[in-house]
Amino acid sequence: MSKDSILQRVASGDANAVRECADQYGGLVWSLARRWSPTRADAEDAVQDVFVSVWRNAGRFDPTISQETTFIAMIARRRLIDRMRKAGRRPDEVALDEGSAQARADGRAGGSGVGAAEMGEDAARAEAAMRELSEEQQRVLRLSIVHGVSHEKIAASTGLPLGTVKTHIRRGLIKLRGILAEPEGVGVGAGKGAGS
Amino acid sequence: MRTLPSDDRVLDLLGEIVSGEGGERARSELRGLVGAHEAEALIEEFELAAAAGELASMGAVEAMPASVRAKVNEAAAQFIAQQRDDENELAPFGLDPGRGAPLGLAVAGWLAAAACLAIAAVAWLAKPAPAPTPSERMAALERSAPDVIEAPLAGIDTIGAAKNPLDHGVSGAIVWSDAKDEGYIRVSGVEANDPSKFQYQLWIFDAERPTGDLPQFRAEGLPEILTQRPVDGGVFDIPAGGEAVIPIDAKLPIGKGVLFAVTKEPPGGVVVSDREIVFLALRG
Repeated sequence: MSKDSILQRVASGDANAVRECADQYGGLVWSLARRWSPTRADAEDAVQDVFVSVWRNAGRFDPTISQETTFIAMIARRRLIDRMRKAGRRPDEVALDEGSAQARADGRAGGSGVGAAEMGEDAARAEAAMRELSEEQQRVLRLSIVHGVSHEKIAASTGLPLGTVKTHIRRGLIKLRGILAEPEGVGVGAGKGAGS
Repeated sequence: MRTLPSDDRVLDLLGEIVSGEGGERARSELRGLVGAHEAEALIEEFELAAAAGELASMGAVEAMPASVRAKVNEAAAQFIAQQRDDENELAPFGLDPGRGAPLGLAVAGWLAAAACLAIAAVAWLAKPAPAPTPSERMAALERSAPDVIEAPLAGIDTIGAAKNPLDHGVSGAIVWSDAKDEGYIRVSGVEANDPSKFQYQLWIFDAERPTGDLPQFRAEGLPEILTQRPVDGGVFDIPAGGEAVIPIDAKLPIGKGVLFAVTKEPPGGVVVSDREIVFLALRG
């Protein structure tokens, strides 16, 4: 088995890696698309868009900075958020179909149960880091970066001042950013590159 | 990892951007606060952090439906074929990004990767869909773009200048769509070039990009538009036989292309031309 990651092989011109990328990360991209798209049809269109963006950006992946899973999730979120903004909508402002609102709320999309550890070491570290935040901070952070709820709506729904909401998000992101800087082997699971 | 700014406003903007709350306004403000390069680097760091946070919170992944997978497979085949197509088209035209002109090193690297992808694609795809040729793409543009124009090519002598010896009786046309920023040169009757000695370069004069600051090119009998600074339309080669269909590679969006001029330039092309025009096409 090659030491290079799938993205590194895509970047080096391995056409098989393009297909393997879709095999390996199809579920992840599809799940993210479902979370960030107002309808299933939009999600179906978005998946192709995301994969093309992933392949085009494969050369920018740096395994010393993040795991492949995290990098692909980043590209996916970027494209999905961009699509959402171009459509002038936010996920919390649209009628989610097929019960996905509940799925988004409780973090289960009706598929196979996969924990943070299976999402890679970055995710496992992020989960551990988020547990160090207060319940309130965790809730605000998840509403923002996972559910895409606007800061004002978070303030309205939680009863927290807008400034506090921004502070929670700020501190939460700084904490999450910190886990990406940790050396290999710190935290949960295998070294970087595992799970990808 | 970069040193984290102490400015709360910077951090708030990053939070807005990575959660989808802040759009171009937030990005612009961030660039103003920390500079464009630093802004992009910080955004990516926070995007990775947000992605890790979302992965940690997903709890489950849903298998991609077969119908969606089929579309992704189709996109993969198109992606690889497109890279192969780009490589097939661009390589013969002798583009030389090392000269600091039209394409940049990043594109050169990408072209190299695309070449590898294209080669590997042949092995992967048992029956790869044939990539459309420039001629086929030109025909498709003519069919699909309602604003497409076809301006006949003429030798430089048609605008009062002396005949260029490289123009052996040029014929053909510029096919161009402003709406799609896409076009082609269909040409014959031009001398084949040795790319190591000189190349042809296309220039597009855009009526909606007035500069009018090159009065030295104003002369009786010549179109006034020649006093404008044109947009680089790419460097290309003419093969033996003098016939080719060449995709135009406009480096800037064109509002209304009204004059297309081809000059003889050093290998790799130039940023500012001495305007040794070989042939041109005027929009009717």
